[in-house]
Order: sequence, then C-alpha cells, then structure tokens
Amino acid sequence: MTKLIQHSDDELEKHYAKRKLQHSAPASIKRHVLAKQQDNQSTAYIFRRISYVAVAASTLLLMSLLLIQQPDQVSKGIDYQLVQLHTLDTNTESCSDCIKNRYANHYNDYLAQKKTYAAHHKTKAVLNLAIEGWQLKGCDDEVLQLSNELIAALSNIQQIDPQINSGDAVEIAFDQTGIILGISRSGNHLRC
Amino acid sequence: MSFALTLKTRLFDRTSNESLMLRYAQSGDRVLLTKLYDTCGNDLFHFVLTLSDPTLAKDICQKTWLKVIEKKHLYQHTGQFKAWLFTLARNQLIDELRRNKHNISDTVQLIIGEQNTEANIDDTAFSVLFDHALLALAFEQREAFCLQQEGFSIQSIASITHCPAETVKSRLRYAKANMRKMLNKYSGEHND
Repeated sequence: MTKLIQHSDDELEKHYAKRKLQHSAPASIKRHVLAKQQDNQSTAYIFRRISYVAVAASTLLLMSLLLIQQPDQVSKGIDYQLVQLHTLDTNTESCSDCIKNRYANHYNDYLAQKKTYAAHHKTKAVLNLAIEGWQLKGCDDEVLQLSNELIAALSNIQQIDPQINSGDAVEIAFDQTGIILGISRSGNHLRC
Repeated sequence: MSFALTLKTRLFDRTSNESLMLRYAQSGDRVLLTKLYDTCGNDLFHFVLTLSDPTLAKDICQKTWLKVIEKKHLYQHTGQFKAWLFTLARNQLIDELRRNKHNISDTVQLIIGEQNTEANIDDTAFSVLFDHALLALAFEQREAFCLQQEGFSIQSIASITHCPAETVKSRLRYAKANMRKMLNKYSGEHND
C-alpha cells in the first residue's frame, strides 16, 4: 500500500477506469429508454401518416374548390361588346336578285361612260376667247364652255399649254368619265 | 493516400457520437439511439453514481436519456455529444438534489456514510480505498475530477459545470491533492 503514496495522474486514471468497470449501468435503464423510444417512434409514425393524409385531403379540397369556382371566374372574365341596333334590314331580296341588280348597275355605268366617251371622243377642237371666257368649238358646232376654275386648276398642274392663243387648234384629254384632264396645242389644223 | 484518408475520415465521422446523434435527430432511428447508449451509457451512469447514490443515479440516467429522445432536435452539431449528454444529466441531478432539499455537501456525507459500511467488509481492497478517497472529495471537486477522467477538456468541464476555466483548474488541483492525501492517510491507517 505504500506505493499509493506516490500517486501519479496516470495511476489515478487507472484506478478510476477500474472503478468504472465495477459500476456499469443497470440493464433496466437501457430497456426503459428503448421502450420509450419505440413508443415515441410509433406515435411519430402515426402522426406522420395522419399529417400525410391531412395534406392530401386538403390538397384535394383546394383543387375541388378551385374547379368549382373556375367557371364563374371565366364567365366574369368575358367582356361583351354592346352593339345597339337602330335599324333592321328589311330587304327581302334574295342573293340572286342582289347580283342581278349589281350587274344592272354596272351595265348602266358602262353605258353612261360609253355615252360620255362618244360625246367627247373628239379630242380636237378650236380654242376661242369669248366674253363669257374660254370656249372649245368642235366640228359639230358644239361649244364647250371652260370655267375659270378649270383653267386655273389645269394651269396649276401644268396640263394646259401657256402658249395657246385664241383660235389655235388644241387637243383635249378626257378621262373615262368625260372630265378634261389637259389641253395642249395641236400641230394640225382642225378638219371636220 | 488522400483517398484512404478521406475514406477513413468518412467512416470515422459516420460512427462518431456526433454523427450518430445528428442522424438520430433526423430519423429518430432506434438503432442509432442504441449505439449512442452503448457508447455513453456506462460513462454517464458512473459519473452520476459518483455524484449521488445508485437509486438516484438510475433515475437521473433514465430521465437524461428520455430527454435526449424528446429534445433530440435541440442538439447542435457544433458541440460534442457526450458533453451535451453530461450537461443534461448534471442539470437534472442538481435540480433533483435541490428539489429534495439535499445540500450538496450533505450528499457527500451521505455517500461516505454508505460506503463506510461497505468498506468494513474488506478494508485492504485497493478499490475500496480509492472509492473512499474519491467519495470523500467535495462535490465540485469530485465532479471536476470525474469529468476530466471521462476525457473532457478544461473548457468542456467549465461549460458543463457553468463555471470559469480557472475555477475548474483549481478544483482539479485540489481534488487530486486531496485524493493523494486521503489515500496516504488510509494506507497509513491500514498499515498500522
């Protein structure tokens, strides 16, 4: 026992470890703890399952609510355009009648244009200055009175020859509807 | 070489108490808790037993492990698992001693009294002498000494016992000096 007098730290550690070996924990502690752990685990498992079911059910409920509300939202989302009717079409013509009428109108226009062209196809005339203003005399003794506005308009677009004098033979350009588009001096005399 | 080192580190990490506890905190797996108990159960019981009596030690150990189960989410990876476990046990023990209105120094006397009767059975047994010397220490000194023998650093002991590191050093110094003195005394008496 005298060797115990010089107890080094290592010896104390050795004695402590030896003492520890003599006092191990009772097995009942481990059993109790593990049983408690098992209870906890099963409770946690049940709660986890319940939470999964709850999440799934709430998701389904949410989706069904959304599906129920969606048609209302769609109907609310449409913007209707309001059209006010002031008159009702009372035309009872059939489609073939419409086409016939349209053809008839076009034909009438064609005849009118032909008539105008026939009336003014004589593009050559003699320009005379009278008291009333400028006149164009054709071969059929028909006098065409030119208004000052027409003269001014043709001058603006440079469609009238400024060198034309009274008594000069001129060539007149008409459009399809008989409107005078330009007057230019003709190199030849008017021969009717 | 580096691969072997990495593999070794990984394997070591997986079997460390901290890794086991982290995995247990995540999964609540019973096997992991069993491993932790097998690693630290006896150490904890011996520590608590040295500071109290067998009945109280068993009770405290059970409560501590149940707390590990219940508060597993509070475990922080930064800390050492064993230090956390011992802190829980120590806090429980101190609460229990206060609740039962035991003065800490009274507990020491109680334990010494109990051990004296056992010591009479075989006074020459070396382990009994060591027990005497250990249990005769003041509570704080015994606590610091046990924690150091369990492999905790000064800082860890300070953290577990909620006191400054200098105080821990002082307690350890006194604990070892007193143990040597008492062992000398006992051995002297037995020699006589």
